[in-house]
Amino acid sequence: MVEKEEIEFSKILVPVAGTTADEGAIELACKLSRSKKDLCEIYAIHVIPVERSLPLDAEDSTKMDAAENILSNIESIGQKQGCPIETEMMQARDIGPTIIEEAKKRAVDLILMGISYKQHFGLFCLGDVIPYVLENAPCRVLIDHQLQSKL
Amino acid sequence: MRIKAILHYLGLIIAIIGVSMIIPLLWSLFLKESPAVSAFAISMALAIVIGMILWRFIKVKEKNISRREAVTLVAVGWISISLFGALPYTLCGAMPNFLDAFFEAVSGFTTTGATVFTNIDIQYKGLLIWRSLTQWLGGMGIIMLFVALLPLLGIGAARLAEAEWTGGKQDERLTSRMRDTAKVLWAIYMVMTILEFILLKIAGLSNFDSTMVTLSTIPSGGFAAYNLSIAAYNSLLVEGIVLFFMIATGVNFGLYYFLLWKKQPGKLFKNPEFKFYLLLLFGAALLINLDLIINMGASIGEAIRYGSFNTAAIMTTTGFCTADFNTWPPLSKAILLFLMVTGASAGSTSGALKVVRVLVLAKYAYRQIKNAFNPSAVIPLKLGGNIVPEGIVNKTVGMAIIYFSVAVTGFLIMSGLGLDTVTALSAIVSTLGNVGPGLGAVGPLENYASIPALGKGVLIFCMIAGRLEFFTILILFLPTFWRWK
Amino acid sequence: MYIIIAGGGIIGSHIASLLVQEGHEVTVLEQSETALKNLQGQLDIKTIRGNSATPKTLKEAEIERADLVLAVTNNDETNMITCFMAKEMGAVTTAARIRNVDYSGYFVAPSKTPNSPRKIVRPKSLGIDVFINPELEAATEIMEILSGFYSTPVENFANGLVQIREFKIESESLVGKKLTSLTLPQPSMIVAVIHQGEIIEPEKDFVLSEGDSLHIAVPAYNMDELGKIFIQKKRTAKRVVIFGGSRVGVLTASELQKRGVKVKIIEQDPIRCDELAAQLENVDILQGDGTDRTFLTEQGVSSADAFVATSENEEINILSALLAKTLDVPRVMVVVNKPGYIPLAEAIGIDVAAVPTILAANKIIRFVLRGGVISASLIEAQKLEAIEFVTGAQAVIANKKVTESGFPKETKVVAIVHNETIFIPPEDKIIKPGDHVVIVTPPESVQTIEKLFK
Repeated sequence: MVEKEEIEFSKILVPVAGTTADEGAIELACKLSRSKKDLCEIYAIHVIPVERSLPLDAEDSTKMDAAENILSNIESIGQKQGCPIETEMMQARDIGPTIIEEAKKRAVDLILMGISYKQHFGLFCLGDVIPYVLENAPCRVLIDHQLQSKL
Repeated sequence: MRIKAILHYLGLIIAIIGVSMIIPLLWSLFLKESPAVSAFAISMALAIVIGMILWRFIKVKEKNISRREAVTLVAVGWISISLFGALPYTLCGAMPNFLDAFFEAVSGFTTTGATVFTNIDIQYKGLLIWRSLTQWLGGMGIIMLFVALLPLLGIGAARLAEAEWTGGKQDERLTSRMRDTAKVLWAIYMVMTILEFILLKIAGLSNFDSTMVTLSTIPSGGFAAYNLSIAAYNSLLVEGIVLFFMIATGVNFGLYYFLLWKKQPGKLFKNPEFKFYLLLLFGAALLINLDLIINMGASIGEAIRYGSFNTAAIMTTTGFCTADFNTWPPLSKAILLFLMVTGASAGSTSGALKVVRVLVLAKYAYRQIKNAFNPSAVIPLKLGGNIVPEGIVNKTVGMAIIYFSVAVTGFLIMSGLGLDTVTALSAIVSTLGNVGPGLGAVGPLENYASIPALGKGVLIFCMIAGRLEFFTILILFLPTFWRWK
Repeated sequence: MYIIIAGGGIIGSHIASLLVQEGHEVTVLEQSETALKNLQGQLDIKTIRGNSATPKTLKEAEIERADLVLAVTNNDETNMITCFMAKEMGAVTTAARIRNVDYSGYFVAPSKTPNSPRKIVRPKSLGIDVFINPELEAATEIMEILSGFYSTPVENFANGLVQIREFKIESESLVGKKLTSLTLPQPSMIVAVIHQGEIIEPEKDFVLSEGDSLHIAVPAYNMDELGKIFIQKKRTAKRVVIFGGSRVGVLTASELQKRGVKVKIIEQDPIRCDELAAQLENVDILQGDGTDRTFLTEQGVSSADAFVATSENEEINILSALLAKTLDVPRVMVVVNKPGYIPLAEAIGIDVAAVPTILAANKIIRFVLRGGVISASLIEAQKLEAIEFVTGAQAVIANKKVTESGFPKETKVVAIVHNETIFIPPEDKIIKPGDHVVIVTPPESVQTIEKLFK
């Protein structure tokens, strides 16, 4: 029999997209963090996708403002929950690889993502970010799917 | 300048003094000293009624007060509280005339401790309590109390406190709001008062004696309950406690704030003034001890006991005494006279020039000498590694000049009234520094009763001017101050 | 709150006095001794002499317990380093005055490989929570005034449902009229009456005189109707002369030019003129003296729709604006920095378009002190504040009548917005949790009121 290892996290990466699912994911991360003796490091990143037609260095101030709002909202949730959250803003062509790269760079041991209920042509759909992360993640991945009624 | 605003706030200050009379009143009531009871009752009623009339019926629209009004209020405030504080002395018949009573009150509020009572032992206890209480109120500053108690004024509070506060260095503000600073200072003051009272009780003094000694030590006042001052208790323990608290009150109170509230002992122990104060105190005490041993044949124990206590009493401008230093050798007397000029630290309850100013003056003189042989040298004046701004240097030099001018003028007048040189000089220096006893005919076992009326007037001026550090009171004598209303 | 202000210049001292009035604990850091002396003479605050960007000075100011650090020296770099240091040393919130627009905001960091994700550097990574750019705000304000027909900017509350605007008594039909005889569109409320530069409580038979002004709160849909009573309609500016090639001037000019307005800039300094000419396209740069009448006439100032004096020297601004007024320019505006000059300019009939100092203070109270969620603004420099509160569920005043909720007597409850229904004035309405309440109050009472809503 395999020895059951203690599941414990010290660094959590929470990609946020600005949807209602973010709050739940962050709250869950904070809960995990507080269940430990000393708090986890929680990183929240928001990736602004850049269209292929634009150069990668293009600056779009409206998108940045929106991103700032998302991140400051995340920070204030963290403050309420008593966990400091480090936030970062990135821009990239693809969101999935960016998340994986960031997770590797920061050597996190958990990626926690919130998803909201989506239907694509009448079928349940995860989008393309989550499958990519699940496929390539260097660590554990938690997907937080909230109650249907809550959404 | 708005006379109305000054009267408005003056009313409140007078009322505070009136309310504070409740303590001696109760004391006298308890001891059934009926003439004193009626004297206090009348004075109290008068002060509160007049004060409240001024406060309630003279209304001001703009609550804030200008610098000019602040200075006037402080100066007029000090004179009026002394006038009201003098009432009990006259009303109970303890003083032959109002001038003497006024002298005693001014001496109390300015924490001088110079008395005109020829025999203290026979006075009403309530009156003696009042006498010491005036010192306690004046020690930290009646305006400071006013600022701490009332949630008003804003910048006006800062202006008021500045006009009254000793030491004058503005950049060492303890807290952001002057009101909080005033509260902190009064809190430290209270703590020290309570501490000394408890220790004296443990040392075996009665409630009355502990109260009297405490109310006199903490503001570095010097009024005692007996003719023999502290010597009356003839207790080494009491002398030790009083000595400790005298030295403690000679330290800038702001440093205690950093020590106790902010846990920054470095601020205290690295403070150049604090170090120089202790150095000067111990140096002077050592010299006097040696002088007493060599030139007066005192035993080592006696020399340390009496020499140290009286040196500290004079330097911190408390003015208690345990020995008649009039009979000491000339060197000791000269050192005491010098200490009456220096006083202790700025921001403490002591009077006189203050150690930090002496330090600045000495460095200033040194710089002038250096500049004499090399005029192009630029030499900043430093204290503890920090440059003293030229503005403060100038103010210090100016204050020293005023101090000595007032002292010389007073000395001439006193000599003109027929006092001998030692008495005239020491009386002036002692009152200017709010010390109390002087030398000669105003020595530690003597009193100021024999000074002629005009002389008392001069000394009263010296006491108030010395307490308010000259500028606040002298401004009132400038014609230009009154012209541009 | 414990607030440290780095820089005791005009902006620093103005904000300090406002914060002290609100009852905060304030310490000002400043390098110049003269500036410090001025401050000490005017305000009851602690001051520390030294460079605010150094850890030594910040330590002395007890930075570790600071709730807010405002870096408002006139040097952008000092302000940025101050905020960075302060944040590292434990300050909770920081705000910096950054005048160079190139600094403000976000930029994409380059990367070694062309296709890897780019990190976006945010002001937060520099330790700065809020950027304050008074000049930019001033330019925005000027733009807003020029594009509309009012002479004063509007303050929005409750997501723009309620507006407060200052109206000056200019038209002759209003002078000499009783205040009570004005027929304002209902609902509306006069929140402050300014007479001879002072806020007054008008008596029953108060008669309006020229130069008075009224601050009036109305629902947004009524603003234009209200405007008709006070202002003759002025056409939007098509030709604008800007005097002074300062930051405000340049920002305004480039923004105006983008909107197709013909702009001329008058600047005295030839070197600055060259810089301006290189920087701005399609804008006429005229080198000359803005207080020279012949020069102004020659350059066709009299045919301009508006004249805006924005040079760094406010005395000259007022002078040249006065000159432009005599040349019959329909709209003449100045930018002043010292709030003390506002009544002066208004007394000679010149509109004050913007006061960067007050705009900075406004931004600070709005975004920094109140968390940016709700609106707040200053009325008449800083004697009154208009603040919007959202009633919490546990608030002391929730479910109470306005008249019974224990507001300090010098405050006015201007409006209550309940589910987008506007009540102006609310009189004895009951305040429900979730309601937006607009209040006008002297700064001294702000803390008391805040407690009522928590």
